[in-house]
Amino acid sequence: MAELNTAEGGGKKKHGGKTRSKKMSTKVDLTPMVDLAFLLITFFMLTTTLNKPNAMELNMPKKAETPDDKVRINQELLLNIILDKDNAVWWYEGDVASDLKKTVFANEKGIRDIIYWKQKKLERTYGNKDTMICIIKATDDANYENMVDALDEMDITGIKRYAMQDVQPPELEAIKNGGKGTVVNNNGL
Amino acid sequence: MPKVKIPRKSTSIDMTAMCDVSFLLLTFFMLTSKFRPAEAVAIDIPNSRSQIKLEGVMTISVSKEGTAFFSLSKREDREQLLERMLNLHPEIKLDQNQKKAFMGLDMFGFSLADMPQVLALNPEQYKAYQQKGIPMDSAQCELGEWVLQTRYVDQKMKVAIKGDKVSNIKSIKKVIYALTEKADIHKFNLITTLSGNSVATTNEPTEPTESK
Repeated sequence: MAELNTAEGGGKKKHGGKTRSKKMSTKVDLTPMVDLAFLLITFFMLTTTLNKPNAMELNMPKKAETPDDKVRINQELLLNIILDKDNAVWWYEGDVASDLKKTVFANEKGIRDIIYWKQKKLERTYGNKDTMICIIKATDDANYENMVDALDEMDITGIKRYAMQDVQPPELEAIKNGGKGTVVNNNGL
Repeated sequence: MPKVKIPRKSTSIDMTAMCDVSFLLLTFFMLTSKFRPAEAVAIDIPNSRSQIKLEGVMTISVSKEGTAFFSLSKREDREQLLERMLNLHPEIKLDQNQKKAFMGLDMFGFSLADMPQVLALNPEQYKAYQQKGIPMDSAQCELGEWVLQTRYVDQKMKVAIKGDKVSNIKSIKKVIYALTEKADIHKFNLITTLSGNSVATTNEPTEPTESK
């Protein structure tokens, strides 16, 4: 192994008549042992750090107990995102579900572009894109991954104010009618 | 001119010190690491770019089918939690062995009514037993009770929801309902894995389509 033979061992036996027991070195080659130890260290290091799961935070609002607790907001700031079956996403602005449009989760030409577009629009009128409020709703056909994706979009686009809410009957009605017949793909936004 | 003789030196290095250090580290990592407990159900968690690390939490897992499981990482907490739940439900009687069996469970998903019967099962039977999930309907919300009682045991303990990618949103909503309405917890965590593709496009707003 990593050792060169420097000592002239052996060959002396011929001179003397007695057979002397050869003096063996007490040193043991520890290299394989160190190898093994480091292998195990690597294993334990990787398993311990990977074991802690990642998590995202979600805050739910407390229920308003009196009508005064309800916060009135400017509906111009609102962007509603409704999660539907087959990873579809419906969206509309304001608080009247009259004109829903369908899009998808994608890095480009998806819901993210719509959020950026809305942010720019608000930045022009109010001078601050953080005024935007996103409301995430999910129909019963959506799955959990859609919800996490939607929350992740909030993080990616840097939206400070967002909330989860139950989907409202008018919205369900509009979705059933294909967003009132105005399903526009993202190119013609 | 005499040749300069270079004395031959041994190339072997004394490995003892290195060995010492490596075994010290090895022992440290072995003692500090915890192996992942066997899971009652396999859960495929969704991706996100969030990187908050969690420790010492109670986890509510939601399987593909939408059944809820509860898990507590600390064994001492489990003991206190069980005592509290039994005080709350005096109709359920457990003997010492059943209590011990409960403490050994990392994750469980059965109703209180089924508890004595399930805890009496031996390990093989328990493995084969199909857990039905913790009831979380608004009328009989045992999940809310478990969470609330855990909060009494340790007030600072955070709540994490671990849902499967394909589990229906209805069951997740039920869990959230149990947390907000029954246990009055409005802040919780969703367990996700780090995804590769959404990280790449961070802080690079693509030009949104500006027509309307």
